[in-house]
Amino acid sequence: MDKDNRNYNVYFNTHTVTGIVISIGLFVCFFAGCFALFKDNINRWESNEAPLQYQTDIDYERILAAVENEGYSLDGRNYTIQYNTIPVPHVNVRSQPLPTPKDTAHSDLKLSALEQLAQPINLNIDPVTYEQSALSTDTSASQLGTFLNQLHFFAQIPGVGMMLASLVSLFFLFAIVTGVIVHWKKIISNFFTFRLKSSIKNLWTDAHTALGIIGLPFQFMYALTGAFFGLIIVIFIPYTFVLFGGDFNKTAGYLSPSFKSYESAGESVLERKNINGLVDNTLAELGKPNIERVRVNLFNYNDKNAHLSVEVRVDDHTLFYNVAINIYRLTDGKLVYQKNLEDVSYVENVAETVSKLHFAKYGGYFMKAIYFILALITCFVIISGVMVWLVAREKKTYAHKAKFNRSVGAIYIGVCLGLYPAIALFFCLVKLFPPEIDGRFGIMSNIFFLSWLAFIIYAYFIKNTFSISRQALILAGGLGFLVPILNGLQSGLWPWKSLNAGYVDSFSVDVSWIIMSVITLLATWKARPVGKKRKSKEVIKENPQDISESVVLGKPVFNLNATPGK
Amino acid sequence: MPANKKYLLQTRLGRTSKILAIFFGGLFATLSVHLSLAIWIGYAQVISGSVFTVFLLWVFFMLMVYWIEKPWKSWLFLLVIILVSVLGMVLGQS
Repeated sequence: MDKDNRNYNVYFNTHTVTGIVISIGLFVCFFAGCFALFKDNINRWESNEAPLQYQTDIDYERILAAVENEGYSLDGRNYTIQYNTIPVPHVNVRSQPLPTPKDTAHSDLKLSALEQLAQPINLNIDPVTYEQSALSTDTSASQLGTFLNQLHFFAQIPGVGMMLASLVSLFFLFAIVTGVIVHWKKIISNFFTFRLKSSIKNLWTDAHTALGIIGLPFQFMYALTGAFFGLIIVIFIPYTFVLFGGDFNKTAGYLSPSFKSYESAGESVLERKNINGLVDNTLAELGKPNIERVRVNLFNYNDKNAHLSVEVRVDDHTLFYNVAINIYRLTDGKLVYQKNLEDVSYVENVAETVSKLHFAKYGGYFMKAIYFILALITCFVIISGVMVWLVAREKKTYAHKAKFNRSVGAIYIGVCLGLYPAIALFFCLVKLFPPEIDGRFGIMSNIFFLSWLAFIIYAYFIKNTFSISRQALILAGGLGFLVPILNGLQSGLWPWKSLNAGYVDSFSVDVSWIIMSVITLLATWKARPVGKKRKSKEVIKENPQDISESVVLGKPVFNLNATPGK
Repeated sequence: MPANKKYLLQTRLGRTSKILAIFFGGLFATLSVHLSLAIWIGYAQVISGSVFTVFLLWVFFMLMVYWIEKPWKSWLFLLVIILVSVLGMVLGQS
């Protein structure tokens, strides 16, 4: 029994400490992540664009010629070529720098050519003129949807942001498992317990446990897949060095056929099959009319061992795995690898599975809406967890730390709830700021961060968590109502016009903000401050077998016979 | 209600040791187990599977570190796992 008590208290403590440490980061991940689910829609709403038909008739030979015209040496390199429609139609061409040749393969290259090989290529080509596009290749966010997507994995923190987000995810996984252990024996009863009229302490506890259990599979999936994206390098370094002698490409090839690579033969061969023909073959074989994306990878261009990988993602939400890959040897056009839509083996689809689950790229907008709601529930679980921690410290035994705890609570609520009006403000700003202003997005993102910071400072000074929450929600609701108005004034795409004109994203973002604002303001209007002494004895009398009281009283949950008041 | 302190580690050294054990001990134990399995079972299955299993095993080791009472015993447990895995790797490669 003592061992049980010890385990309960140790895991309860680790759950609490881990939860508190990661809570703010986790809240940002989930809240910004809610919006990141609709990244492309938000980007199209911002630039007042209707969804474009994906273009598959790209002339890849002309694209390569355009890159050569820009002064790059093409030979021996690997390329990734992809047509994108956002923010404007363009073909992105990327190539990593080649390692400095040591062998005889490139011994005939002059110094200038060697210097060129050491340069990465990142160009955007206009798919109409086949000349370099004016579109910037800067990967930092220049659109709101992209910015919010990057915010959800802390990309704004240079260098370590993504890894930090993944560490938060890993410890979220730990917090989930310890939470389940702590609540295990009462997991069924907790699911059916929500004492709205009991003490504030019980209210937060019930909210935390009941909603935590409802969202458990979703949260578990997010913790696991979120940890993967930033910590994959930590996993792969040992494989690369112990199993593959430092060749990272070999390790990556095991993760997905998209990452397969081919070694250079070191012999130049200029005669090869036409790339457009091989891409067309792949598309014709698939026979699918709706294409979501085509990505072409070229390996060892103009080398004897040159290969072409054509990766086609079809737009069919009835399929979970919607990617087909054909890899051809470029010298003779022989198909050396094929992954059809029907190939659903675990080994070949694991990276795709992670990506699909994390970004809700299946089941269409219905699934995204469910993800959105579950992510908001998770935000509430995070906040309620911290509120349990705060309320439990409103006791005489913690009187010496009361000021500190109140400040921590105020800052915490300020950070979490301050994000909502800050995001609403950003949506307004993108419609207020004229596009021709230099450094427009930088100014807007600075205003976003400064307004968020201002709210946190304000929260620190007023301390009252009810007032902080109420004011954040009023601000967010008010600003949210302004979003469709400003969009209508800026673009003329009022909600009653945009849908008929084919601007689906303009309509859906505007209407979503109206709905969110109505719910937010209604919740604010209905909200009343609750005293910590509002505990209703009648409620407990009506539920004498209620055992979740034991959590509040600090008794181990293993004691199923605990009775209230004891 | 916070956890009962009588069950928690009281020394700063003990707490730090356990935190280091869950970070570094857990990570090295997880990776060495996976490397050993990759050699014995097959690269493709283990590398692709490790997308999920690395984090699950890492969290399992975190739980074990806290389940074991004494910090030095936690470290001993992780070191045994690492040593057995390394031995497995050496035997598998030879």
